[in-house]
Amino acid sequence: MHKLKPLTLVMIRDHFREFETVFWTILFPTLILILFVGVFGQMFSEEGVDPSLSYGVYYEETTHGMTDGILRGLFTEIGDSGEFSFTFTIVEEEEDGRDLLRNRDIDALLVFTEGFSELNQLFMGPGGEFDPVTLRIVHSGRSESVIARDIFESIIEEVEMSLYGQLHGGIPSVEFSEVALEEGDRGPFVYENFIFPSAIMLSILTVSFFNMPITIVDYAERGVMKKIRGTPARGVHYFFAFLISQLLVLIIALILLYIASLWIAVSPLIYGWRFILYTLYATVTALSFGLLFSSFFRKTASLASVANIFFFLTMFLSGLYFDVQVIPGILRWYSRINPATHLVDGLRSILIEGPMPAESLWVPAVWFLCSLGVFLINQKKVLRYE
Amino acid sequence: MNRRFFHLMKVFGRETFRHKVDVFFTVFFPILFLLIFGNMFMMTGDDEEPTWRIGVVGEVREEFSGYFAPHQVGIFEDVESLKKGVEERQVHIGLFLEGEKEVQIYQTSSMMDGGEGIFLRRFVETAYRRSLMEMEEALIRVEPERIALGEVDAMEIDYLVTGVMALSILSGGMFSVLGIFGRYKRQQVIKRFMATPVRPWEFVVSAGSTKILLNFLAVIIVLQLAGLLFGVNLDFSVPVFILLVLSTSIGMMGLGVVLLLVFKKTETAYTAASLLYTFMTFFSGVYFPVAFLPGQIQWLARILPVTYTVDLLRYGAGIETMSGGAFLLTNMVFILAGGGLLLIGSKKFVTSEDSQ
Repeated sequence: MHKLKPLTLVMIRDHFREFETVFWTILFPTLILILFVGVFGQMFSEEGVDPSLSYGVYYEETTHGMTDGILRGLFTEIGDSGEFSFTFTIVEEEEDGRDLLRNRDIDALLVFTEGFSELNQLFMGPGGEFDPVTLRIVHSGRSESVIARDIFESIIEEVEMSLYGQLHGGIPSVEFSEVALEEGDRGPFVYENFIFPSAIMLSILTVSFFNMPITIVDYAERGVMKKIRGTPARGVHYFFAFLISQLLVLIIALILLYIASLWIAVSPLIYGWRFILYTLYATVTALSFGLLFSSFFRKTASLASVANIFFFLTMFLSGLYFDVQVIPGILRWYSRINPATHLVDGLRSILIEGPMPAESLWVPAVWFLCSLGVFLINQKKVLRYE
Repeated sequence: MNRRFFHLMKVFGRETFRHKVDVFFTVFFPILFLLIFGNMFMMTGDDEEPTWRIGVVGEVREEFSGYFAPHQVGIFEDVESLKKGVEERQVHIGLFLEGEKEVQIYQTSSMMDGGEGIFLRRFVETAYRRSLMEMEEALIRVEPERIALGEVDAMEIDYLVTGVMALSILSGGMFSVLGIFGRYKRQQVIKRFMATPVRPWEFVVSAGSTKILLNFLAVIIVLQLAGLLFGVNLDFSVPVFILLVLSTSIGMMGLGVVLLLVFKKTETAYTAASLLYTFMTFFSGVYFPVAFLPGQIQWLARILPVTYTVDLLRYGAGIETMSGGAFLLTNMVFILAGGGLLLIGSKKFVTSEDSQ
């Protein structure tokens, strides 16, 4: 024990001397958590997204009567409701509106076509068959423009229904309840519960892909191992000191994430024993990849290059930031055999009180055993005892 | 001089392709994004009439499915099979009609359903109410009309591909400078070169040119793959394409020099560059519409250089319009600012002094 402590302290000091270790392992996951919750949290909240969109409005002919009142009411309501961040610009000519659209000054142009005031007929009692009036929505292929088109289309559908309701005894009240599904009932989707496990995995993966293997190879490259063997400390001391120092960096990163979580609406289940225990499982299994990586490289430069490639592939193909169920075949294959996909799924399943997917247990376990096996076979070569 | 210059280019070319991280970030990383997001865009689509599949459990009238047109309605026997259908994506949404006035809506909780899902839910809610009201005739007919903002009628996937090209130029330019001035200096490559007759500008231009060639290769691969996989056909004229990739690459290299000037250590500059790249990936409006970002940070998209790169590429591909003056000015700013910064970088970093 008296040999383990100073060795561990030296290694910890060594880690903290590197700005990259502190930044990428400890600060970056918390930064990502705060940034993503701030930016995308609302997009996936129950209130939904409130996009800022601007519309041009062109009347082919002046509206009058009830129609005019309905449209004025609609635009005033949209402005006053606070539900939408829309702006409307009335244009004198349709071409002016199209120019605004081409210059990206507006996202869509609403053209209330000639005869739109025929809506007035509806309020003049039964008068035979009604010919629908036409609203043209001119848009472009830009995402914002397509969204602007879809949103206004759904607003018009509601207006239409409300008009019909006024004429035919009101709109029926229906209670809609939403249930989000995926491998069992998961309840409503909460973005914070989606991204918090991602931030945890990001910390763990940084340690397992970079800190751990790079330190092993770097120590071997610099002959640190040989020097240690010249002291009374044994290999087992070195191994445990190394492991403890890596875990400590990770624990600090996780503590910071938990502190940040106090300001976001993540489930309190993150303090439960199931979540903490599974985080530990994820740590142990994922850290074994570090051992696997270090088994194949003798130079830190080559290791860093390959680790970077696998790290980014894993980050974007493991469902850490977005759903990967719809990615094409070969990438989905990578995603499925990747333990990070199943580990993050496991963490999420705990937060939504769903069943733990079997893959979240056995896939990382298989990787752990294989990585450990490969490392043990290669350990002498890796640590360069010779 | 010419022989020496081309020999230097050959050397740097070999070194560039040997440095896997540079090649990965410049060539393969954008391809990865193209595959992921391209596939998502193609699945959600931007057709005028996307067809959703709607699963229903409950007693419905014969005309019921007509209210959900043009989307398809399928009847399920029980709630369990409906849930399974949603989970396995046989249907995009499930409706369990518990009673006439009580409806449970099932959707997957995945991110994909975030944006699209909101529209879909609103649509089925309105359609269901319309069915209860037996509202058969339309009062207001909505006619969407898509227009081209430039010379070609672009779809969302075309916007995505130009965005991916811009990010590829950004990463290629920015990281390459960190390699030229940072890594080469740290590895004492510069010091050794300066002990030979090679002049600093020859060193910078030959090293920089190979990185720009890599950028050309990357965007050409992205373009070809986008054509092969998603049928994207962006028609750049060759001189415009060369000017665009050249000017924006030089501009992004300038950004790399700024990072090296601000952060003295190469490793810290690499960290800052990776952070900046991540930031631009999510906030430049390439993958997520800027309109969806909180209002307070939407202005950020306008100050990111990658936004202007995207604008230039979209103009070059005929997707959007831009005045000739704005096009020339933006290119000039990229070339002059980037070139000026590279000059400053070569004076500061390409010296025979010891490495950092």
